[in-house]
Amino acid sequence: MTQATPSRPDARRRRWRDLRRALTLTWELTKRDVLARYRGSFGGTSWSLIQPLLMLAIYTIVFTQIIPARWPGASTTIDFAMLLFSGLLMHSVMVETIVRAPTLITSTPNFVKRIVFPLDLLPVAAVGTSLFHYLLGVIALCLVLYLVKGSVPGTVVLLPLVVGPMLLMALGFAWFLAGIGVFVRDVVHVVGLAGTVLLFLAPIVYPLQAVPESWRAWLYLNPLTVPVEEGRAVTILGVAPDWRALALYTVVAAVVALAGYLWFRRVRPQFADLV
Amino acid sequence: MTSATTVVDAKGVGKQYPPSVSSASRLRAALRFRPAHSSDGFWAVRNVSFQVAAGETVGILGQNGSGKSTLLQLVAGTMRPTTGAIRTAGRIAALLELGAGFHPEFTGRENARLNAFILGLESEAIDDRLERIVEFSGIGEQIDRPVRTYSSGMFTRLAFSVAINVDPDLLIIDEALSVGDEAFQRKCMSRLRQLQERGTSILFVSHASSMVIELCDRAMLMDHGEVLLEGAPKSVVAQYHRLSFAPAATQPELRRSILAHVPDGDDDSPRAGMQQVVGIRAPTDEDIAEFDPALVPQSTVEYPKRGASITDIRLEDTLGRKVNVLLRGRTYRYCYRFTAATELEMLRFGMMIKNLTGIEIAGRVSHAEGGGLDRLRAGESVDVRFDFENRLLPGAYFMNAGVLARKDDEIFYADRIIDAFAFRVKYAPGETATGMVDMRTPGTDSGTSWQRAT
Repeated sequence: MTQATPSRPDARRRRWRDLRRALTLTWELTKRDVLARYRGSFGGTSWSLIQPLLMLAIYTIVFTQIIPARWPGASTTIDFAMLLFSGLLMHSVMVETIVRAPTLITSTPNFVKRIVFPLDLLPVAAVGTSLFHYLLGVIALCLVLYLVKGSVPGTVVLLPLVVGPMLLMALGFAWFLAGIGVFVRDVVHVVGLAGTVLLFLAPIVYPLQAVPESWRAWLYLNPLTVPVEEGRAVTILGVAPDWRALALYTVVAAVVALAGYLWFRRVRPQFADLV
Repeated sequence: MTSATTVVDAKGVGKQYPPSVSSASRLRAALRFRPAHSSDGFWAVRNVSFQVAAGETVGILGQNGSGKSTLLQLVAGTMRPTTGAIRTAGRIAALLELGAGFHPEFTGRENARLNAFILGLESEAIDDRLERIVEFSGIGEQIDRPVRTYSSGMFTRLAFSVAINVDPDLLIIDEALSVGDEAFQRKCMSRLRQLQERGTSILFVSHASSMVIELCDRAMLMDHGEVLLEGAPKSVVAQYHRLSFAPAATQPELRRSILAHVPDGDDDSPRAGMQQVVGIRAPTDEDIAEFDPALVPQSTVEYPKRGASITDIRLEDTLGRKVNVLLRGRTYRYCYRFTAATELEMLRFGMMIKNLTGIEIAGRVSHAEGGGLDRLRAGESVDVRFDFENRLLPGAYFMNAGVLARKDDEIFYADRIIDAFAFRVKYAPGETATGMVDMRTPGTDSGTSWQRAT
């Protein structure tokens, strides 16, 4: 505490320090979040890898053997499985985040009432956890790609440009849902449903081309459509993403994130009385 | 902030819990920037203003539900005041609940690490500090096992070790010092003293008045969400005892009298307040008999009377004045009147002194077993007196009175009253005795000597 008003470099340094602190804390929280899930289980963190692979297997069987789906450009079952998997990975980042978001605050009353804690980092850590699981999935995907095709497209380095905006979008939703989840406990049930809606109303288990022309535009209202399409383009098809769509999506995601954050900050003072 | 050395500055702080928490209205209130404020909610804290200077230790006393914990939460920033404002400066470590934020599946070391970080330790300093925390906790090898395997003692010890070792500017402790065994408590005390010397401010709530006196520079007495009194720890503790032992009916009056009481430095006696309550002249000398009308036992139990009754129970000083605030080393007389309603034989008169927790410290009977006063006819009375020298340490005590009689080879209590009378022993500065009683030879000053062994 100083008597004089802090000089500008001082303020900047403090802001820089606060930011670094927030980042470190987010890192620590994410680490704990990831580890906590499987702590005490025999499989440990390997469950994070087993789960998506198992999902991949099930969806492949269902959509090739039971309900055969046609996909232009996918001649073999394994091709189809990979197209499906890359979309599913995107979907699980979003859904994993929003399903957990409404209970993030209510399930940690101690963080709200008993210690001084930057609660706005909890949704960030939740996104971080989803990202971790996504990365494991991408590694699995690249591994399979390499084994089947002998190479991984170079455009895969553009993947962060696709995933980044989606994380921002997910974060915006997470802040919003975490905030409203304290007031309206029903949100938990709604987001579970939303997860299914997001899955089937995005070109994940079917190609965008399979959707009738007149409906296609509506599909873009799904926050997953752009990331799923562009993610598939850079990881599997090996083509450049649709830059315009991506740029527009990034702007929307930034707006959503900002709105979510402002909302969270606004309702936060009420938490202690309600949790 | 009024000065550069103020760590906490609270102005007109109030906290209202709404009568029924309607989430929808809460949401509306949040969106409109308006504090959720209703006309009939419960005010846990009302119009509290105080400051804590850098390096100062302030204790908060009060009965359960007086708003102490809410106030701490407001200072810690986990809750926002409905009215007023609190400004704080520097790093705050709040121990509102020990081990809040600990994850049961993680090891003690992992939990301590994150906890220290949350409490504000820089990440570079953590690894170095972690060793100190682990060592302080005295948990040993168990530190690398999940905390769910810890005993509650180990759990709290670890949590306390973290908070006390992160070098905060302000340490907020809610009833946390009652953790661990005697040795660990001592260790905490000396660590707190270290922090005090280093300029850490401490704000803490405790029911242990001795700790407040020992540790604090200043104390506040809270009741029904208000600060009744702020001043020297000793005088605040005295008022706190008065208030907590007062019968419910007299409490409002007592509260008013304490509010009117202007703290005058090192005052120990409830003088000004007493004057208002009973209108007696304020004593000018400590030696003058003190009787505190508010000090009345709440736990009195009267046994069924069997042909007699004990009345007029009191303590007198050597001049025969009724007292209930005692000084150590002086002689007092415990008296009661025993009146027989039927003819009784072989009477033995007894008394007992107990402390707050019910431990029987000293008792006496008028006759050894087999003896007794032969006979008392119906309507006859006896005045019973027990003289004693008060060797009890400061605190509150209770007295029993009972009379045994024999009839047809049956021995029974003709009358017996538990917690019939309460008294308090005054705190004196420079206390050297510990435990319950002062074991020095009466009349000697110190009774303790030492010399270097050769």
